[in-house]
Amino acid sequence: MAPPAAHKERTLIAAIGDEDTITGLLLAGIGDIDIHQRPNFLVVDSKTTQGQIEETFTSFTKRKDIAIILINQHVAEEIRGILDEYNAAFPTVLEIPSKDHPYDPSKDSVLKRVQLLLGD
Amino acid sequence: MPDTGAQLTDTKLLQHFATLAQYQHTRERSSAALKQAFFVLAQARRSAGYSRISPDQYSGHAQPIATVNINAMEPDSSDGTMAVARRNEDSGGGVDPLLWFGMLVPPTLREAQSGFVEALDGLVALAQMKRELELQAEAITKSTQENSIKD
Repeated sequence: MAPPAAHKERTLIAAIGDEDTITGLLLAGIGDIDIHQRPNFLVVDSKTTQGQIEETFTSFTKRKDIAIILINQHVAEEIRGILDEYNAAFPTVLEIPSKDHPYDPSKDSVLKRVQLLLGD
Repeated sequence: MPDTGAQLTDTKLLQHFATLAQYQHTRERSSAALKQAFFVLAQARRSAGYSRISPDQYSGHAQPIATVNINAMEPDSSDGTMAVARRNEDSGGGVDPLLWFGMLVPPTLREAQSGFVEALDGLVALAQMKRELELQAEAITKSTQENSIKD
């Protein structure tokens, strides 16, 4: 495992979500656009393709400056395949509710993993 | 009398369930905080007009004022924490994103910002707990396998 010092560069909170979610999280202060003009957020709307979401998620997972990726649960469903395959410690991925899609515990990967552990 | 392998696994399981309960409790609180923040944001939009609070106002030079500090984490331990760190402009942080939406913003937008700031703290805590649960599950699986080999 990488030594603790390797995590010092991971400070950003990235986000993939609908407009309300991203506006809210940006208001909370997470927004970053780096020197390469790469934002740490993606607004997903009706025109956003599954490919774009996958590409953004994958690019976030490869960055060494991101600690956490927040993603609306309903958006996560569109890329469930690559999400389920993702098992790196960092960035940590957390699914969050949106204004129009409340948190659904049946889709929470954390709870699903607990069920697997208990053999359900 | 030293713990047997099975007792050790049971201890790890109990700790896992305790963390899970904490996770579910924090989920409920975080979801409620987000729901309220979304509601207030909608009010702000109605008050200011949709075009004034939209991605068109996002800054092209955004710098974060809310980041995460990750403390050391050992491979076999659930110790180690992630916590939100906030910086202001004087200490190298970015401009308050509230200002992206104009100098005179409705009070509801300021209130929405407070709501999302509070919600963000809960989300980072959830990410931390998720990581702890994953480490605990790995330890339990390893412990169970070791017990199976001994039996």
